[in-house]
Amino acid sequence: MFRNIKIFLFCLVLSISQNNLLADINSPHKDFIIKKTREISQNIKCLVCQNQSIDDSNSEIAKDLKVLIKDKLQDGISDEEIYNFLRDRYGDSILLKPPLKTNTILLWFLPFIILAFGSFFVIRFLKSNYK
Amino acid sequence: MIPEIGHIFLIITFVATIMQILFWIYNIKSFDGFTVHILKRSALMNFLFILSSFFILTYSFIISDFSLLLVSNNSHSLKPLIYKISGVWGNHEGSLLLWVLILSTFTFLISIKNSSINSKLLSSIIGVQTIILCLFLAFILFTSNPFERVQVLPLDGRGLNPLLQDPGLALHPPMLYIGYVGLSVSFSFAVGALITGQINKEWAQQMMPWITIAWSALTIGIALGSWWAYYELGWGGWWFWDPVENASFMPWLIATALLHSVRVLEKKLVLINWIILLSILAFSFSLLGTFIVRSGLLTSVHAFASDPSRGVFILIILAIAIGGPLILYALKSSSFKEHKVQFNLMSKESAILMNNLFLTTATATVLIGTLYPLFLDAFNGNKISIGPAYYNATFAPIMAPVVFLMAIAPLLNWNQTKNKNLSKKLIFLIVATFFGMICLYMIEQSSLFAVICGSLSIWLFSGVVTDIISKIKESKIKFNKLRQFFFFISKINLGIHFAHIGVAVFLAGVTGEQFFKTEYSGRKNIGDVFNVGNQSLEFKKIEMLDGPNYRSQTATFNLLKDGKIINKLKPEKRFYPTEKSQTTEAAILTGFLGDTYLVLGDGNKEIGWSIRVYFNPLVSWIWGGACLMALGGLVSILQNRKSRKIIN
Repeated sequence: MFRNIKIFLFCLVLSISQNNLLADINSPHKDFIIKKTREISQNIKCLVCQNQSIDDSNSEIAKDLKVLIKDKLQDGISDEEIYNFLRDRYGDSILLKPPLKTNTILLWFLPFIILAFGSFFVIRFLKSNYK
Repeated sequence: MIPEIGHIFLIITFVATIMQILFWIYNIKSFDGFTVHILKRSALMNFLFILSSFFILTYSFIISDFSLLLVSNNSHSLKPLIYKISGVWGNHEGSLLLWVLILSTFTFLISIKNSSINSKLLSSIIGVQTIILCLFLAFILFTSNPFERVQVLPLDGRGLNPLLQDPGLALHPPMLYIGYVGLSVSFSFAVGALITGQINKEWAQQMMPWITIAWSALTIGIALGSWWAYYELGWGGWWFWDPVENASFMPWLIATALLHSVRVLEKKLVLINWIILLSILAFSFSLLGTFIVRSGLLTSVHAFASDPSRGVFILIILAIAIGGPLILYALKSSSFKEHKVQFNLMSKESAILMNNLFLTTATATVLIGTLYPLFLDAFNGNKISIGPAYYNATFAPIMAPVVFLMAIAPLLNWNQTKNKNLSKKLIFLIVATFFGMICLYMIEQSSLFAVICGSLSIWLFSGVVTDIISKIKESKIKFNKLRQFFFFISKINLGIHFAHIGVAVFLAGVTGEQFFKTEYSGRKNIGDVFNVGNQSLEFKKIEMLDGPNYRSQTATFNLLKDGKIINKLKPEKRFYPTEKSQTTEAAILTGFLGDTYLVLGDGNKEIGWSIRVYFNPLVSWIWGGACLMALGGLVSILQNRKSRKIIN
């Protein structure tokens, strides 16, 4: 119990100490890289925090990852490759948006299958009661 | 000595509930007025005993009786009184006691309020409520006794988690529990109907206020939690799709569906089986929420204690409380005779049907998103994380049609009667929304989703306005007298308008916060002046201050406009010595059009302090909208009561 709370508070305290990680970019596309880094960061989970993206968090690992993403973007590496790189290194759980794979097919499609089933019943009901 | 009395009260109530259940089951066939009388009396007795027990626990917290394990673990003599009291439910055992207190209160209220309910149904309702009470009392007594003593008397308590020492959070659990437990009433109504085999329009009418109370309380409870996360956690968000948030959101969605479909049943006997199923599901989701939060299955600030034996026990309660009624449902649901009524495709009935379809699917989506990682992990050890991106892609498109229908449905008529001016109203609606859309599009940097989200809000708002205007026209009332105005107000269903406007306001808030937020972060030292958006901030000073049970590092920033100080912001970092933990208190300047949100980070005089500033447009509309929804619920209860009085 206290461990969890401690981790939580730890992240909390760290998350506040935001500094200018992204200030030292020497590139004509500075704005674009900052925007892109944040965009990718929002989809990467902070592994030592609870349900937080590295964009929200300022734990050491989150800082390192943000710098890493920024460096890769500066080297002209595409989003896809960055995501893949992080995935290979830390596993699927680092992505806050789970990739569509065999084990997540149900996750992504079940809501819409349920909607289709539900619609079928509603239409049947309406038909039988329709004037 | 006093805590032992509280404990004994709980044991007496537990034994009494077992006897009451046996008595009820024994008399379930041969039924007379005497049974109801006894059950009513026992509901009162259960209520009084649990209330006394709760007071005793509260008393122990107020006098800081550290010989109680619970008090010494969760309180401290230096804590302000309000947090000593809220500390009662700021932990696992105490919050469960609050849970059963609310349950017994509801049971008692039904037993005295609804004397008009036919006595066979009433005794079934009280019987089912008593079973739930008994299960939860067993849970408290066998796994989570709040009155346990310590072996060695500590010098002082360990204190309450500082994050929970907050006025918003003092109220959050009671409101949420009133919502959760309030849904047990409709659950008991449904099981009661299954047992007695009788269902009619009165059944729906009598159940309606209870669902509405539960729904309103749940709305407020969730909003308080979200508000707390916003100002206390210090990263500016208000909803994180955290499993614990989802646990409270699922019953809310189902309750919303139920709230609408019951209105159909008030008019005619259709959808009986569906409504019974929804009533059972709504409370099942409350129980599931309690299970998710209390078992330590998912870790968060809410998981006060992760004890596997408790998890198993809750699982057993869940199996009995959900499985039992579902089996009963499977056996008996076919016995209800539905009226074969026909209605137009463009009627309130079919709109509500669609509402139910989308809301239940949305609930299923949240459920899948919450539990899928757990099941996948258990199934083959694969770990995945589900963040907001998933819900944006699944939940949002499923909910959008609900909002779309929400504007049109009130314009439709019940039954098959044709609405004459419908097309006129719809054209007005579309034109209004179109203009709003263009305005939104003109705002800089507005994305497609921002336009969709904002337009939905405008669409809904215009829908409600159209509805009210057309009702004024139809009623042909001249508003030359105040009395006529009140007469008109009493005629229309004000609650619905409030609630729907609430959703529109909420959506406007979401649009502002999600799509038009601006952010600044950097390292600043005392004396620096810097621009954030169209305002500028001056870092004035930083000082150490003492609070009642913490030390605070408080910074002062001046908000400048044209060189003049228009406001002061004082973000803090607090250190709680008892709990040995630190919290950050964001400085928030709340305005009608948006909040300025300033967080103080680490730093010192040499290198300066890191700070984050957000401007969150319309963010307070999110909670304002939720309050309007809850208000709508309360208004509709009051209005219905009045109109029923007039009929009688």
